[in-house]
Amino acid sequence: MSSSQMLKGILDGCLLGIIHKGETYGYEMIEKLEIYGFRMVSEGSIYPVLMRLQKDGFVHSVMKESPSGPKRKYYTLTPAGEEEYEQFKERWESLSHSVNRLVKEEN
Amino acid sequence: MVLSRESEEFIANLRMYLMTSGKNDHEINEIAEELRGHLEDAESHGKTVDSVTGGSPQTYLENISNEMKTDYFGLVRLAPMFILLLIAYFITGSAIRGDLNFSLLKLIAYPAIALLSIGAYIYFFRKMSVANYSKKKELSIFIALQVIITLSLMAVLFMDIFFFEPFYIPSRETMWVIAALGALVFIAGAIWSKTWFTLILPLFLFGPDFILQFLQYSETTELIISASGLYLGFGIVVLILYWQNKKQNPHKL
Repeated sequence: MSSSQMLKGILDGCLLGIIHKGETYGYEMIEKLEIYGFRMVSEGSIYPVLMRLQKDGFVHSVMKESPSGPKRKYYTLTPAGEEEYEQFKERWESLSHSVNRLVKEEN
Repeated sequence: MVLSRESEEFIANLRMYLMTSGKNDHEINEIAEELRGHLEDAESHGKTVDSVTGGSPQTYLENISNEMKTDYFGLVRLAPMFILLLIAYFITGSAIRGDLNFSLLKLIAYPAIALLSIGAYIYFFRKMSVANYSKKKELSIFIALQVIITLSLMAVLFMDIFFFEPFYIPSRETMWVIAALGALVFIAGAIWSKTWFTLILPLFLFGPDFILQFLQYSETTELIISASGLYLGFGIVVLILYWQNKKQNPHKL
C-alpha cells in the first residue's frame, strides 16, 4: 500500500486540521501539508474532498479577489467542522496508538 | 495571469464534462474558478496541469463529478424551451414558404432524429472532454455527425414526398401565424439563454425565405438566394464565434 493510498482515508481529517489553524485556500493547503511532510500524488485530490466537506457542512467558503494573484476560495471551519475535527483527533489518537503498539512489538 | 494552453484546455474540458453530466451551472463555475486559481499558482511555481490531475484527467473529472449532485430539476427546467426551439427550427421555414404540412412520418421521424443527434452530440462532447483527441480528429467527428444528420433528414424528406400523404395542411393564414409563433420562440429563446446567435441563426436561416415571399423571382433564383443567405449566415456566425473565442483565450487555437 502506497502512502498516498493510506492518506486517502484520513485526508478529510488532515484538511480539517489545516483549516482549523486559520482561514486558507486550496493551493496554500497543499503548501502547508508539504511543510508537515505530506507528499501528495496529485494536488488536485484535495478539491473533491473539500467539496465533500462543504456538502457535509463542515466548512464554509467565500470567494475573494486577491490583490496580486488569482481569485481564491477561502475556507473556514463551521462549528460542526470543529466538532468533527475533535472527533477525528480522538479517532486518530486511538488508531495510531494501536498501530504503533503493534508495529513496535514486532521489532 | 495567462494559463498555459494545456491548463486552459483542462478547464474547458472540466466545464464540458460537468455540463454534459447535468451538474448545476453555479457549482460548475465555482469549481472551475477554484481550479483556475490553483493552476495559476501552480504554474507560477513551475508545475503543470498534471500536478492537479495526477496524470489522469478522466479519473480526476469523475472524482469531481461524483462529489456534485446531478441537477435533474435544472435539466427538466431546460426541456420545455429546448423542445419549443427544436419544433420552431423544424417548421418555421416551411410555414414562411407556405409548404408546411404534417404527415405521420414527419411527426415520428423528425423528433426521433432530433433526439438521436442530441444524444450523439452529448456522447461525443463527453468523450472529447476526457480523451485527448487532436483538433483534426474532433473536427472530423463533428463533420461526420453533421453529414449523417443531414443525410437522414433528407432521406425522411424524400420518403415523405413519395410515400406519405399529409394528414393536415394548414391554410396560408394559419401558416403565417405559425411562422410568427416560431419567431416569438426564437426571440424568447435568445432572451432566455442570453446568447445572440440563437436569434441571428434563425434570422439567416429563415430571413431570406421571408423576404422572397414579397418579391417575384423565378424558383431557381429563389433557391440560390435562399441557400447563399443560409451559408453566408453560417459563415458569419462561425467567424464571430471564432473571434469571440480568440478574444477570451488569446493564446488558444
